[in-house]
Amino acid sequence: MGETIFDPENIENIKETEEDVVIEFSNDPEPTSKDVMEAKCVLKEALKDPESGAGRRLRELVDGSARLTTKLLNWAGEHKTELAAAAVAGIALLSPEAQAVAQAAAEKGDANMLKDVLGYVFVGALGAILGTIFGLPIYENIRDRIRQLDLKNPFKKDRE
Amino acid sequence: MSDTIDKLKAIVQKADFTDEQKEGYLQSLDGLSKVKVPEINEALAQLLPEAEKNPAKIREFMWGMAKVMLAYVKGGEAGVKQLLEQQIAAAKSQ
Repeated sequence: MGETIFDPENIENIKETEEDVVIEFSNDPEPTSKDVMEAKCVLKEALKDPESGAGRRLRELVDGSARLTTKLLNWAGEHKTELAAAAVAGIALLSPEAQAVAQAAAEKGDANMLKDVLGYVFVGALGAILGTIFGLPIYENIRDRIRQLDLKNPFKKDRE
Repeated sequence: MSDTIDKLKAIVQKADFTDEQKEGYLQSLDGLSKVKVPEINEALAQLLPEAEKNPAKIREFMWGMAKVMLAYVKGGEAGVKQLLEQQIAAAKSQ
């Protein structure tokens, strides 16, 4: 676990997505009202259709199977001084190393432990922000709906 | 690491945050404490002295982290790369 995630010796190709992605978050330190609307739209889309690209990636994020390629991690590592510490932490959460921690948690226990590791980081950070602006019911709704996702437990078959 | 998390949690508890912010940030810090990745430890260690002076830095941190994850949900790896490119460009222009 002490190994750095930005390993220049291990380069893979960055996955290209066919989707036309436009990320429209501001560079402001705290979310603007437009940022919050964007976040809400992204989540709404993902929760509306779990089989869509966004829905699948939300599940990947909270079930420990999201992956960023080493090439992207290396590239981000080269720009660490320009990136905010929060962005570095966010990237690190999507690294194979962090995702392996989540899967190991599932191996030792159950899907709830896995949710604790990654799902709660995401739900906690995001839910608090959206909840502050839209009010507690929105926060609780997002939190509960993400908690209720049928999280894939990679070790479930072994226990059945 | 746990000492850093404990100190950050204490700051959250005392900060002028709403109840839902406190719940969310404490939950998020609990999750982070379980992911022992060097970059996360470094980021939290960097956050602590700033948060001691200004607790709002915790909100900034959480938003920054959430943005990366939202970018992943929206566009996968390409989405994250695009967000980071925007942040790097903004940092260079300052």
